[in-house]
Amino acid sequence: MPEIRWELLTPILIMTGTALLALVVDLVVRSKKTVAGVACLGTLAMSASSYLLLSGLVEPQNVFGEMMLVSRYSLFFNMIFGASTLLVILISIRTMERAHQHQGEYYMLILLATVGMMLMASANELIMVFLGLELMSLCLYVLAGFFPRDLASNEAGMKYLLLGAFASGLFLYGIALIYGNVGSTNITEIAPQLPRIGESPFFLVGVVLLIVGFGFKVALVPFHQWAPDVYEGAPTPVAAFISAGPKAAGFAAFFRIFADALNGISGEWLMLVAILAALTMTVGNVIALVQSNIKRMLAYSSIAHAGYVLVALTAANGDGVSSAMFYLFVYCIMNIGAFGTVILAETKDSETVQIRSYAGIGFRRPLLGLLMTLFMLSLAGFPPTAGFIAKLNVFKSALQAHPQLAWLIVLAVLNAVVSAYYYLRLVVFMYMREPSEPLRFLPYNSWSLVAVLLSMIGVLLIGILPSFLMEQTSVQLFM
Amino acid sequence: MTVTPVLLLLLFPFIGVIINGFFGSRLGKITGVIGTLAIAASWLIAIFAIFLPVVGGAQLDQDLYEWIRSGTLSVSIGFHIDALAAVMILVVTTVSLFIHIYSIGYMRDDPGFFRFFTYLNLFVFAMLILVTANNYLMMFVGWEGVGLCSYLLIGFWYERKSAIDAGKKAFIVNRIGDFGFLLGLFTIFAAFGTFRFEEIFADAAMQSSGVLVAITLLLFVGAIGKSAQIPLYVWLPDAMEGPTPVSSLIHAATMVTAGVYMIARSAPLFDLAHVGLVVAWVGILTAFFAATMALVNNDLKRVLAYSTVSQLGYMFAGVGVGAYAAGIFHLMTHAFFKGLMFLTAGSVMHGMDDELDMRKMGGLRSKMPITFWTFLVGAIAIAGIPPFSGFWSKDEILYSAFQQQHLIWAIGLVTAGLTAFYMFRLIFMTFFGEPRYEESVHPHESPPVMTIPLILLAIPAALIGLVGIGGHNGWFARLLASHGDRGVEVATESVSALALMIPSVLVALFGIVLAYAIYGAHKLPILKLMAPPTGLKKLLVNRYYVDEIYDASIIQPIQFISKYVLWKVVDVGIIDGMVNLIGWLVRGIGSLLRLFQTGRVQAYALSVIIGITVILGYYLLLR
Repeated sequence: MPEIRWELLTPILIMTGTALLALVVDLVVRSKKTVAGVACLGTLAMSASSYLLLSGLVEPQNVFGEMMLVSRYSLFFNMIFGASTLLVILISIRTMERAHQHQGEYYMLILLATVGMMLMASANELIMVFLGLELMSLCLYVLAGFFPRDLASNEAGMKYLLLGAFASGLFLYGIALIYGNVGSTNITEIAPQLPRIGESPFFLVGVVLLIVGFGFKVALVPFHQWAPDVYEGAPTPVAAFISAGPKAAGFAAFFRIFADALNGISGEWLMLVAILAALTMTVGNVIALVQSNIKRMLAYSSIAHAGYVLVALTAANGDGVSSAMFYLFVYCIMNIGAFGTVILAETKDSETVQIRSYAGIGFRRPLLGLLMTLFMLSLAGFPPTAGFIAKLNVFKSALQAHPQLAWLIVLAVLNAVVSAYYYLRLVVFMYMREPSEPLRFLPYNSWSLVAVLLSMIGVLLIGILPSFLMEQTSVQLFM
Repeated sequence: MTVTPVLLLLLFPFIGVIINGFFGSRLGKITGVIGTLAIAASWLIAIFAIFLPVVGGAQLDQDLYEWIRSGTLSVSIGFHIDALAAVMILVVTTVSLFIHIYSIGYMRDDPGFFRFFTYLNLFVFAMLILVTANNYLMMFVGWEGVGLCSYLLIGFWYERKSAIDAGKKAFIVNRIGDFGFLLGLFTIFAAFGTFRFEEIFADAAMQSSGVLVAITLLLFVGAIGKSAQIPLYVWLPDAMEGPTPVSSLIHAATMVTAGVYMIARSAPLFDLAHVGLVVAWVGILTAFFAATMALVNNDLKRVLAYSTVSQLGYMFAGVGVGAYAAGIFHLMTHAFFKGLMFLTAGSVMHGMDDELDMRKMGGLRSKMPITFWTFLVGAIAIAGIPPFSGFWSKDEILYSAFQQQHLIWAIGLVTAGLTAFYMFRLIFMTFFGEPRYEESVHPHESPPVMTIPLILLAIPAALIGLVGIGGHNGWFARLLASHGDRGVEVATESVSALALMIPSVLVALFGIVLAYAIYGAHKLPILKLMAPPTGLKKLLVNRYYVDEIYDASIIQPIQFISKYVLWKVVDVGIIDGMVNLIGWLVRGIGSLLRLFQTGRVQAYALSVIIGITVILGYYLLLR
């Protein structure tokens, strides 16, 4: 029985403990804000412990036998999850107060989903990846359908569950096929076996099914169709949550398995990944052009962003992985910022989800207009925002690793141009159109405002001084 | 010498910009004092920590930090302080200080008060960067910075269309010069692989003469634009639309002399390239033609503007014949006396309700005595009457020119006569004779905050020339010895310097007497002054129709092509058409793809299955 090194597990332990604590606190306190506060503190503590471990860690460490691998890579992803979860909790407070129901469970589900993500990022076992994935997904299914009396939310939860279960099945099948060839589900044991099994059709089918499973979770075309329906129907903070952390977690495991364990046969999957990336970017952006609902627009936008991240996988080296980590961090912050701004724009009667409802907001609610403009610019990848640096890094690393994939980079840049249209269209509406009817906006909710301002600071700070974050993302392969 | 004083020198105007720029709108009139104190601090540093140590033999060439690295290109922020830079720093800070003080009074009632001082401090900052740089790229940064401030300050009164037009004209004409400068910079980098003065000058002898000729001529194009020489001088007279202190500081004393400074700084290149005579001829012809245009102009500030163009021409003639010290010497004296004259012109405007037409003045001598006497000092200085400053510096240039080509000297001599004539024509029309202004105008002397700078500036305007006594062996020439006069070496001493002084003084006196005979000896009837000009005078009043020629030959064709070809056909038709077509196409595809998003779970699952089938089919069958 190998020694269990608890200190390396502190982030996961803190997160699990906080989830349980939230449940207990919910039973004894009346104000549900306390639960949110506990959740925030726990998330902060988890992020802090991850950062401390990250700055002290040199070599990746096996824990729990070889079930998990704590590395700079996994710890950095913990910080992505921490940042996303913290921001999502802050923008949830208002929505949950309005709903008056099951608030305690809500925060617990968010926290447990985060534990699942952390397991995915630090898993050293395919089974562990699957466990993390299921823990996360089950929470998300419930969260998406969290307002049972709201038909759209109901539909979103149901669709997500059905399709998610389907994808999980395929994923598990892929694991089984790989186990059948490798003789182990340990990720580190795949690479040495590759020369023997790399050409085996059953092994390749297993690899393809893994891609499909991950492709579903991170919403790659053609496995993306659940995303717009779920984002639109789910409560807005949940949509923000699903678009950020889980996507990063999916990519964390995806990159861990492909850029690391399956790097030896990258020739087999590189072209497939490149084509999926091209399809995902293009379809996501093109359909986003014609959306009239801002949540659906952001859903397609997040599909397109998954395509950009996938471009980094084609590099299949340390630079590519680093650029993807950087990209995901930035993406989570700016995307939650955009969703948070949608929440800030709520009126007396409902949330403001139609794009034309944003007409004239720029002058009537200057701060709101400014924040939304900033996030849109960052999503579109304009300097001096973080979105620009993130895109630049990804494209650079991919192009340096495989100059023959220049077509993919050209396509990605063209896609960024296309995306500027629908991001800036919102800005045009905010500043250059007159509203058809006067909207009665509520005063800003301070918790949501704090979250959005934090996102804004992050987007600008990383955009202007990217070097600090870049140092944190520098990893070696075989992490 | 350490780099600290240079940093402090730059820091104070910069602090002034930050304070006045960000908080000026709330600080009110104190901004003028802040701006002035910033310059005063720089001025003290310039004298005691830079100029005097340099006189004592100190030098500095130090890189502060690397600014840009890309491939083999490495550009540093670094400073080069020698006698030439020290003289420029001293002139810039001194004249700036007086003009800042003066502006507190002159701009007192302007709503853009703080904006004015922000721009003015920014200008000083940029100008000091220009003269302290140790490489061409940083010099270019200052060069563009002063250009920007010039543009902002010409169009300072942006409600006036004429001011905006003048600002745009200055900017666009300067772009032409800057384009040449930039090409020169590219050529320098291609040839030398560096922008640092010291490295370039050390390697210059190794380069082929063709490369050096290209570099120097391109740099000279930049100087022509910035320093308003033929054929790019047209922006400077229009630049008088800016507030008068701006005309004084930027468009007379400092910025427009940047071209002269740049050529003096690049002296090793110009010497090796042997293009000096091109520079000298452009300069002396500019001097002559600008002076002829000043002869007939009735606008107080425009006479001074043409005079500035003309005097800049002298400076180029000086550096062109290799007399770099003489050119810089004239730059210095001119900065003082021309800066002074613009400020007095501003004082006249102040007392005359912003009237600029000299035909509507006359007899102001008794109304504004300080203004009159200080202006007279400036006029005597520029006319070249000993021992006033302009005499020494102009004579030095003429003497050096005589050694090279007698014709340049001769044109310069005639121009000196013209200069004396138009300056005293201005004095007689403005300050002597019967008043011709309307009864509603009540001329009065300006407040002390304006007249004290006039008096203080009149002292160097009169006496600063004395530092140059002794010509090539004088104190000033020896100070600038590192930029030594080639004139000394090639001089055959065919005539003594003294012999050449006699004709130039006589010509100046003749000009003054002629001006008196025409404009001072008898009463000037306003109707006669207002009569439309004829003959040669008409040609001069219309400035040789140069603006009209540029308009017909360059501006109109460009506008025509831009409007009817580039805009209506290329832009609207082809580019917009293509963009719209693509946009329409992509949106169409988007609407089509949207149809697949049916909302049915079964359809979504089917899509996943189809995706898997296609991928697996590819892997298992096609490979």
